Amino acid sequence: MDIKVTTSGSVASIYMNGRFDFSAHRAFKEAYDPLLQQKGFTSLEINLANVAYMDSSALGMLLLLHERAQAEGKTVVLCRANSTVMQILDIANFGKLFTIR
Amino acid sequence: MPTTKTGLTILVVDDSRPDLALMTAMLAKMGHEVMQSTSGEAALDIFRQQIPDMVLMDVLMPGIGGFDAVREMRHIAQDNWIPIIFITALGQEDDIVRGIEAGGDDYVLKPINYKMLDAKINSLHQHLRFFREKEEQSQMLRDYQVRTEEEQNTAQDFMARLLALDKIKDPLVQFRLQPAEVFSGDLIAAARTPAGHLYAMLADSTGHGLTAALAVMPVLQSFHAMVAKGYSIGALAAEINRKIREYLPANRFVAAVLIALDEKNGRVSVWNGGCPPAILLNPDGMVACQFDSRHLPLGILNPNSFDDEVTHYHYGDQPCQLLLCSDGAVDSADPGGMEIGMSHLLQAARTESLAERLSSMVRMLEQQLAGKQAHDDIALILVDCPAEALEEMPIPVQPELIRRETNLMSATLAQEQHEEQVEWQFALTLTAPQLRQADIVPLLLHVVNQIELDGASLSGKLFLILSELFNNALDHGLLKLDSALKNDPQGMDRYFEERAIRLKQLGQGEIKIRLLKTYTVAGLCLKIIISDTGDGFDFQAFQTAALDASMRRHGRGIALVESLSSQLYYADNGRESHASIPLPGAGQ
Repeated sequence: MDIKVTTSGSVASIYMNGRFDFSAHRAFKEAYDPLLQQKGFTSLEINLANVAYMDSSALGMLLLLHERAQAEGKTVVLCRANSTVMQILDIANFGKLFTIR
Repeated sequence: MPTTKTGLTILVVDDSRPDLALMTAMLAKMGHEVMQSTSGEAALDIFRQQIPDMVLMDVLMPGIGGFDAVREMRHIAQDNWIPIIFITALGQEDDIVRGIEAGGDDYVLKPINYKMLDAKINSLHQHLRFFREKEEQSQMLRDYQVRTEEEQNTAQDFMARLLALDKIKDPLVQFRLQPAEVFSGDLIAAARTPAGHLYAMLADSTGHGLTAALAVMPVLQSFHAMVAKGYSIGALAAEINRKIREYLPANRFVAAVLIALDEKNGRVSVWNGGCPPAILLNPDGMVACQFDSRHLPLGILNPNSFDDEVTHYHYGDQPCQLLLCSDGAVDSADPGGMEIGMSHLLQAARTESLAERLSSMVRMLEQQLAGKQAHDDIALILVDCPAEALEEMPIPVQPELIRRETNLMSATLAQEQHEEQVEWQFALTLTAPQLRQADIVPLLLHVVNQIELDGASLSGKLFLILSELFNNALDHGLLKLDSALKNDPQGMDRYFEERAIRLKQLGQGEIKIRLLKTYTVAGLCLKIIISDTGDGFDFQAFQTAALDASMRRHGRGIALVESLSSQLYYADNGRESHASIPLPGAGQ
């Protein structure tokens, strides 16, 4: 998966696409790792608009990111999920941990 | 109208012109406006055209006399009170009595003492002001009442449509709802999930009347929306709890009992927060299982500390009935307390055949109330839990209380045999070389999308289920990876690294995938069966982890599959997993 990253002010956006499962693990980690190191960003936005499918390993990766971001004092926002992906986030009660919009 | 402070419009009637002229002058001096009339007839004409604030009426006149004119005026003015003063000649005191009988309010003697007349006019004026104020207020009250009644009727109609009690037509559900006031704070709802499970809810909001009825509205909406999506009752309770906290003031909450009936598997599940116990009655009307309130009512806890734990019960091969009742029902059965009230209700239920139980309880409640209005809303729901389907279920059915929602159960051949009319199916067997290389799940998804017209709408769900089951078969069955690895922060990376290494080295092993679209008893569905040649796992000991955003990184996948499929079970010591997705469209 090629993952696009954009930054704007204190917000860094990570654009996921296609299939968000274990196969995206490395690319996802490589996308967010440098952002976590940089002091300038307080919020990481995971844009799910182009994610067609998602499974539980993606949920695990998001949880891992959440944990690391928290340690760095950054927040993680999940946004623009399609209805199926939203359903999966809903069922897993991810709204309790992440801002979802 | 006496709009200014003192000036009244006074109709003066006297056949003596000099007297009339004098009175007019004196009254004008007092600040009043005068309408003159020299006969009863003329006075009535004026009166009909413009009702004055007050009338001064001579008794003795040719034509219509003063008494008759006053009677007529009272008739014309109807409920409007016009103070009338008779003018009586000295020595005709009998006229005073007759005048008052005719409708006069006071009298003055001729020759008139104007100081006294002024005092009398002022006194009557004072009365008039009181009268008019009172009239205005009672008119406002009447208007208010009419408006309130109108609003109440509209609201009642609206609520009735929202509650849609007439739409509860499930053959398994009987109920009774009797509000203490026009509006009910008790609410009853029942609906089927896409997988065919029957959900029912009895909710009882604090208080009764309109405010209580309003409080249960958000509950109803969430109930129907979530049932349609097939969420578990625990998830329903959590969502409704969140909604109530969001919409209602802190002092308002809703006691509720939610039940799910899985007829096919002979199982009832109950979440009870603040309602009297839900009672499962066996065919003899005895208590087979009692589901006490284990939770706080909805709308109290914040979502993070909300407890969605559900109690499950396998009711065996006997047809049972599940009774839900509101506080008001128990209290009306016996005001002496929950226990004695419940026992009265159950006694009433015991004496009759299954079909008669509800009406027997209702009769008992009516007798207890003896025509008096209950002081709380009464709600009863009785859900039939039929046993027929159980004959097809070979799993050992013991009345055991199991906790935590789980659909995992042993698979059976009998279940397979009930599947008839396969519309399409394909099977794929993969061995190590393909498993090492191919990206299997998208491939399968592609095939389904090519042959199934509705494939696209399905593919999100299908991807997840295929992906979870396939990866479990590969990761744990063949690659023997331990999920516990994922528990520490670096674990996930190690897990994926380890996975890649083991996959590359995979020498033997097989994964079979079978997908079929089929008509079953539950309707049209897509079945996914995935098996592997690994060691299997102890699926009976497997407890689904709470499906929650907890920091655990494994166990969530299967819970997701359970949520999205109508059925999930394992066979062959855990080497084979079966999942079904209900499809839209009629059964056969």
